[in-house]
Amino acid sequence: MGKIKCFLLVDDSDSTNFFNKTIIQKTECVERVLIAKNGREALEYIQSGIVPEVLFLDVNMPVMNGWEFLIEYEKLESDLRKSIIVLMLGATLNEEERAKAENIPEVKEFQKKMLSKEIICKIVNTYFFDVHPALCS
Amino acid sequence: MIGERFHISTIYNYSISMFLCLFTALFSLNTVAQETDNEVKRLHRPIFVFNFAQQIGWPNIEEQKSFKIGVLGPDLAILDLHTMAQKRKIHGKPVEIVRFTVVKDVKDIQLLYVNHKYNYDIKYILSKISGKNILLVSEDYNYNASMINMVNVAGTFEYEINESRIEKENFVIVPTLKEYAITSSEKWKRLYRKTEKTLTKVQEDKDKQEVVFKDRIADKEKEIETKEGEIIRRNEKIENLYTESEIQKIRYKEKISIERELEKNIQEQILFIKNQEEKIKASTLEIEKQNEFLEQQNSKIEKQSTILKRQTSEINAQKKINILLVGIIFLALVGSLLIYKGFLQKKKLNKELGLKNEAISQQSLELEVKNKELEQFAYIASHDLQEPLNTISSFIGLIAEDYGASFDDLGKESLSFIEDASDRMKKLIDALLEYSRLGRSKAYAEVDCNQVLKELKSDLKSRIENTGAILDITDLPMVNGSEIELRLLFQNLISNGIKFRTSDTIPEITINCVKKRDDKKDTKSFWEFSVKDNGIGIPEEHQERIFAIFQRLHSRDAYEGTGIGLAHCKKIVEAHGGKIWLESFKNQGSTFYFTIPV
Repeated sequence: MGKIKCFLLVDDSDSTNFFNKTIIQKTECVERVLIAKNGREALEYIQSGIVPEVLFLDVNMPVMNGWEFLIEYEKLESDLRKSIIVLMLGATLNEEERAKAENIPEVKEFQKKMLSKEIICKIVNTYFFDVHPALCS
Repeated sequence: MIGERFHISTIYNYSISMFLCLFTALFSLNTVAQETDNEVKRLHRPIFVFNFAQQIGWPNIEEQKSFKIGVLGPDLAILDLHTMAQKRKIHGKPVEIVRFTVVKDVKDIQLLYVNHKYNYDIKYILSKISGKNILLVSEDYNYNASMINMVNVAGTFEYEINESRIEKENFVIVPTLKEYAITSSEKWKRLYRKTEKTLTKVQEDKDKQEVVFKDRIADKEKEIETKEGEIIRRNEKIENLYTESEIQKIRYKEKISIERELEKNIQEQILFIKNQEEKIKASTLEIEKQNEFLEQQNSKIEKQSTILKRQTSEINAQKKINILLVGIIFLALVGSLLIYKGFLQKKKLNKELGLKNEAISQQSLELEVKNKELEQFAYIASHDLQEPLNTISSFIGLIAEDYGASFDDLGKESLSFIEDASDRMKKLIDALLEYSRLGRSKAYAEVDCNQVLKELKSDLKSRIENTGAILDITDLPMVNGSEIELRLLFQNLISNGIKFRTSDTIPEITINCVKKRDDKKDTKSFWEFSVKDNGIGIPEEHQERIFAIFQRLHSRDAYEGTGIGLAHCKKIVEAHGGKIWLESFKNQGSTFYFTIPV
């Protein structure tokens, strides 16, 4: 059972990034967890050739927010657009935002901002391979 | 000329009567008077005859050397005519007088005079002289028997002419001759009677005198001889009288000339009068015509006056109607003025009202904006509060997982308090978010409350079973509103009813609904719902506070909850246009009432 190469966390909150990175590492199914402080940094990672298997995207960020990032992401070459994007939600999305997000094919999941082992396992189980259940709780 | 004669004769008459009076006075003898009458007539007769001749035109008179007058019978008038013939001419011819004794001898004359007293048959005479151009002048014959008939009347002559006989002999009659002739038989008769009367009177007188005569005859006879001498003297006197009368004649001639002029004047006047008469007749006719015309006009005027009367009455009626109309119009004007004033007042009031309304709507808009701002604030505040809270609770979870076992008792207890607090805060924030979201939904629809409560029962199934609660729900109506909010409303009230009870009580909750109408405002009718429980009740002094947000009457240890439930209820009910209140006493349960407009 191999490991997923790379997850990218895009969020301006250090505490959230720290917490989420800790949780992801606890599941032991990812080799690297990279962190971008905003959409711009995330875009730079991707353009430098690092294409994460899963990208956790916060909406409200300085410099370039989630929506702006998604617009730019669309413009990338198809080789660079292979990530599974998980939209991270602070509170609940309103109807308008939800509809907007569902129109973007790369956005596969909506999750609460503070991740949990169960959520990570569920994503990996869905898109990659089965994680050992002992690592998921 | 005859007229002239006529006048003369009247004058004669007059003077002779005077004369006669004298005689009577002198001799007191009627016989003498009669004799004087005869004397006058002898003077008049030839004048009349001559005048007649002068008034008649003979067709062949110019051929004759002389004018011949024949006298029939032994008439003494021939003497008088002779005398006159010596004085006067006829038609400028000398006059000859011829006597005839037999009718058949009569010829070669222009005029034949005959007196009735010689008893010649007038018809015979007429037949004999016919066609011989002879004018017959008779005396005292019957009316209309001769050509010209002279009649003795009261001492003088009247005459009548037979025009047809005269014209038959081709004579021309001067009009004046006709004028003075007696024309009607009536006049004739009158004259006749008059003369008869005089005659009878004379007869009577004579008779009397005869008696006197007989008495006196002897004396007279004695006196005759003496009288003869007197007679001679008297004859002398008479001759004197004749000369006197000659003088008088001259006077008369003078008078005649005067008379002629007078006559002319009179004739002129007569003509003038005749003209005038004709004119008068014409004008009378005209006047009559005009009278007729006037009468017609009168009748027309009468008709028109009746029409006028009618019209006047109509006009009067019209006037009354007009007055009434004017009155009505005036009233209408006054009325409309009042209405207009009222309208102005109303308009003014309306304007004020409009301004106030505008101000109110402005205020309500401002309020709405502020409300929205508040809601937005609440939402954003709670939303943003959630994030750090999530971070805290997440890290607490991480610490508890990784290091909880290695903590001592103080560390473990502290960790659990932090966990509880963050959980409660989470709930509060969720409730606040929920509260700010309430009333935003305007998508109202018909909601069947029975259905809502049926679903609610199944949602609360575990709690109902755990507590053994009894729900008594009557038939509820359909209302217009938000289903989610109404469910939350009922849920809160039922939950409260179950929650706030003493531990040994089995909760009994009764839900009811009646249709009501506000009598004071007389607005639309509404549904009044009531949710009654047998719980701990709410003291009166706290009843105001319970609908405020996060207001709690009890410790969290006694009764769990955020204290936002009734605030939710109030907000929901008010968003639906109703109101919420309660009736409750401590330990006697509570009844919550709320209304929803129909």
